[in-house]
Parts: sequence; structure tokens; C-alpha cells
Amino acid sequence: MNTIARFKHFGTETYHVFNRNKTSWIGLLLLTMLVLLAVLAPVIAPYDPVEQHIIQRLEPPSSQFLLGTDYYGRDVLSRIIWGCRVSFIIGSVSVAIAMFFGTILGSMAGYKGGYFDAFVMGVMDVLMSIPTLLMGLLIVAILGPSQANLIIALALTMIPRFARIARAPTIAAKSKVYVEACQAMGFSDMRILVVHIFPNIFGELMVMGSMWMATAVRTEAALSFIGLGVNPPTATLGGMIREGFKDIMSAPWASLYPGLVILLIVFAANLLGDGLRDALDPKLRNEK
Amino acid sequence: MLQYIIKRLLLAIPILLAVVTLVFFVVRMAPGDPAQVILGDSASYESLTALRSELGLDRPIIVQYGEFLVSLVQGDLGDSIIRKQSINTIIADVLPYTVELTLAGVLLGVIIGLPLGVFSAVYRNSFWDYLTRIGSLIGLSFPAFYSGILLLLAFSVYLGWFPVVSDPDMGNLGERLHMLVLPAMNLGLIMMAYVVRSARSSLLETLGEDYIRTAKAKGLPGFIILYKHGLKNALIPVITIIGLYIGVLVGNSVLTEIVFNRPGLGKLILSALDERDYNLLQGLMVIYAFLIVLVNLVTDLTYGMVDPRIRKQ
Repeated sequence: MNTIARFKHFGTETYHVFNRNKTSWIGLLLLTMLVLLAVLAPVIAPYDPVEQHIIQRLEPPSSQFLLGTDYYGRDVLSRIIWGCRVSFIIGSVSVAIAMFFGTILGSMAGYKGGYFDAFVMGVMDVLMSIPTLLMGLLIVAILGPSQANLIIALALTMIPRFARIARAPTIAAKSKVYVEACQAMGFSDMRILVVHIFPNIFGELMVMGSMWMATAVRTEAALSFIGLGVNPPTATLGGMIREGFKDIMSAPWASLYPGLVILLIVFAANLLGDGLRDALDPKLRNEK
Repeated sequence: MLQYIIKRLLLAIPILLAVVTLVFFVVRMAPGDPAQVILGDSASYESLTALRSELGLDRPIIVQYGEFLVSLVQGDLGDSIIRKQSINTIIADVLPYTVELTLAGVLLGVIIGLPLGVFSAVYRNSFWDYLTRIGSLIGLSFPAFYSGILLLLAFSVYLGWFPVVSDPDMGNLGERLHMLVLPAMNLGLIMMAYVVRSARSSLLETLGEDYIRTAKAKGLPGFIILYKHGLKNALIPVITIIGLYIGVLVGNSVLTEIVFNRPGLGKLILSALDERDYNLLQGLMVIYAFLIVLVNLVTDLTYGMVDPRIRKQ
């Protein structure tokens, strides 16, 4: 089976199991809706997210401001929509970077073995012994809070996870006869990795990508809540909770709605990841 | 067993050393000169130089690193440059609060999560199973600061069962426990979600094994199969998950401490960042790394206790 056919086969099979697992459809649907919301932010947000209606501060939800206004009289709904955009950009870019470098490092380590493997995985173990949030906190505190730095910080905390996931199947595939055959034919390591080993770990990487996207969004929100997120007045979901927390008694809408949206994003990504995992697990695949 | 413990201990040393080194150099990369932070922007060049040499900042970084390691081995984390106090004392003052919070969270999570996970696996694909699964997925999707805010609003503000602001310095053991309930519940819910999921999937896998079928064929009663043959073997992945997520829990304890305004390492980290007290920040990171490595060690040792096969390897 060539690579494209294998991906196609993988696609149809995943589709079928996806179909059996209704909850993963809900996850996909929910996530797609939230992504659309974020992408279409300039079109659908009723107000400018940083525009202040000073006279209408902390107004409860009304027909004019559907989810109310915050301390500076900014429209909460518009800020949520724009905040989703920041969450998705930071979440997906950091996961993409981590997946790229993590997969390369992990599969190279697994493929080469020996000292290289021991060194790379040793470094990964060290990185993993600092909790994600604290690592993010340390890096952002040192680099300074900005969107790019948040992405770097989150990617750094996730690279080891992807490296681990990519390594084990690479080691398993390395001893397969077809890989030995490729080596005997003189194929380059790069070609063997990309064409013959990578498709085997693609599924699991997607599952982890979805799960870690959930974690990245949540960690970004947590850092913004602590005050180490993208600088104000840019709307971020975590930052909105931070600002709204002060007025939680008089204006709960300013912090509770953004929190609900973070929960929705993370939940949808987890639901999707869960469904994908069931779909790809050969033990569960044949189950009705 | 003793040999196993010693082996694990020796393996932890290089990891710790590497983490400590990483923290030392990363913190040194931070912008801003500590002397400038202490004396302010209007300080003269002479006073800055004097303070730098007093703090030992004018020496080569390798020398500073060496001294840092030497005092670390002696259990000394150095002094806070802002608070002019030993970092050991500062941390020792608040460490119990974070430890009691995290332990209570883990305990709550395991006590509630394990039976729920077993229940969910035994009655798989039933309505209750779906409810437990969706519930646990929501649980692990909650950002800890948001669930904390919701708990605070529901139980402290509306129901008035717990104090809004924790102040564990005051009062007797009863009061201290009373104030621990909500923050511990906040962490416990997250832990519970992880435990339920891992217990369910691990038990399901075990229950599909051949030896379970053999046990059924022998006519053993259901609960004996479940406990003796199922649960005992299913427990190892659950222990891994618990160990792994204590790290996540430690991160979440920072957020929980902020929301509930509890003293602890998390709040200390924030003030260290605020005051640009990099020595303190470094000390805290070292302590966190120690805690995580310790948890990993205990997790490994627990495997050895639960599964004699691992011990013998």
C-alpha cells in the first residue's frame, strides 16, 4: 500500500468508527463552531473588542449588549469572540510547533538509538519534570508576555510529550522486515522515517494533538489569569476572567461567560481527542 | 526491595541535577539586573557596582553556579535579595499549606474516583457509564481557576457554608480543615476526573484478559474476580496516572491558591515574579522540581509494592 492509499484507508476507517462514536461528532461540531466564531470575529462581533462605552460600565446583559459590559464598558460578547481567536491561534500554533519538533526529535531518537537516543530522551525527561504551568510561567516571566512568547513557552512544554509518543512506535517499526528491506535498498534515513514510519504514528499524533490543544488553551488561559498573558487591552479569555474577578459579586457576567467559553473549547477538543483515540485503538476498533 | 529503592534513588540524582542546572541558567537569562531592582532606577553607578559585588553578581557565572550547587547540596537555597531573608525559611513557612492542599486533593480524587471508575467499567455502556464518562471529561476540561471561582460562588457566597477568604493561620485544626474543604475539592475534582478515566479503561482492558475468562469458567463469584483478578492487575496504570497528574495538580494548586487567597508556594511564586526576586523564584522552582521527582520516585516504589514482577526486573 502506498502512502496516499494508506492515509485514505486510515481516513475511511476513522470515519466509520467516528460514526459509531457519536460523542466525537459532537466534539468535532462544537470545535468547528468555535473555530468559525474565532475566524469570523471581525464580521460577527457586534462591537470593537477594545471600544469603551464609559457610561455603560458593568451593565447586565441586555438587547444592546447581549452578554453585558465589563469594568471599562466594553462589550463582553465581542471580547469573548476575539478572545477565542487568541486562544485558538496560541493553542494551535504551539501544538503544531511542538508536534513538528517533538516528532522529529522522538522518531530520530528512536530510529538512531544509542547515545543520541539516551541524550535526547534524557533532556525530555528533565523538561517533563517541571509542571507545564510552572514551566510556562518561568519562560513567560523571562521572555516577557506576548503572543509569540506564549507560543514558545507552551510549545517547549509540549515538545517532550510528542517526542515520547513518536519514539516508541518508531522503535517498534524499526525492527520490522520492511524497514530492514528499505535499509538494504539503501534508502536514506529521512525517507524511511517520513514514508514508512511516520504514517504509522500519524493517528496517535492526531489524538495527542487534539488533547494537548485542550491543555494549551487551558494553560494560556491560566497564564492570562495570573497576569502573564498577552498584554491588555487585547481580549483574551483568561485575561477577561482576571479583570472580571474583581467585580464578580456585582457583575458576574464579565468573568463567568469567558470561563464558560474556555470550558467549551477545552471540552470540545478533549471530546474529539477521546473519539479519535477510540477510533484508532485496534482493541476498541472492532467493538460494536 | 532495598536494592530496588537504592537503584531508583540513584536514577533520580542526574534528573535533579539537570533540572536544577536548567533553572539556574534560565533564571539568569531574565532581563533586569537584581542590583538595579533593589536600588531603583536612580541608583548611582558606584552603589550598583558595590551591591553587585556584595551579592556576588560580578563573578563569573560558572563560579556562581558552583557555589549555588555547593550550598544546594548542603540544603541551603540562599537568601532572598528583596526580603533579606533565608529562602529556606520563607519556603518552609508556606510549604505545609501547599502540601496539605495537594495531598487532600489527591486523596479526595482517589477516594471518589476509583469506585466511580470501577462502577463505570463494570456497567459499561450503561446510562450511568456514559454519565460518568462525560462528567469526568468535563471535570478534566475545567481550568482550575474557573472551577475554583464557581465553587466559591456556590458554596461560600450563595450557601455561606465556607469562608470566602481562607486564612489558615487562625483557629484550631477544625477551622483549618473547614477552610481546606473547598480548595481541596477544587483540586480533587480534577484528580477524580483523571482517576475515573484511567481506572475505567485499565479495568476494562484487564477484564478482557484470558485469565478472567478462566476465573469465570471456574465459577468464582463476581466480586472475587473483580477484586482479586481484575482490580489488582488494573491498578498499576492507575498509579502511574495518579503520579503523573500530581504534577498537573501542583500546577493547579498555584491557581487554586490565587482564587481562594490561600498562602502557599503558588502565591509565593506570584510575589517573587512581582518583586522580580529571581533568587526566590529559583528556589521555588528547585523545590517544585524536588517535589515532582519525589512523587515520581514514590510512584515507582509503589509499583514495586503492588507488582512483585517490577521489583525483580
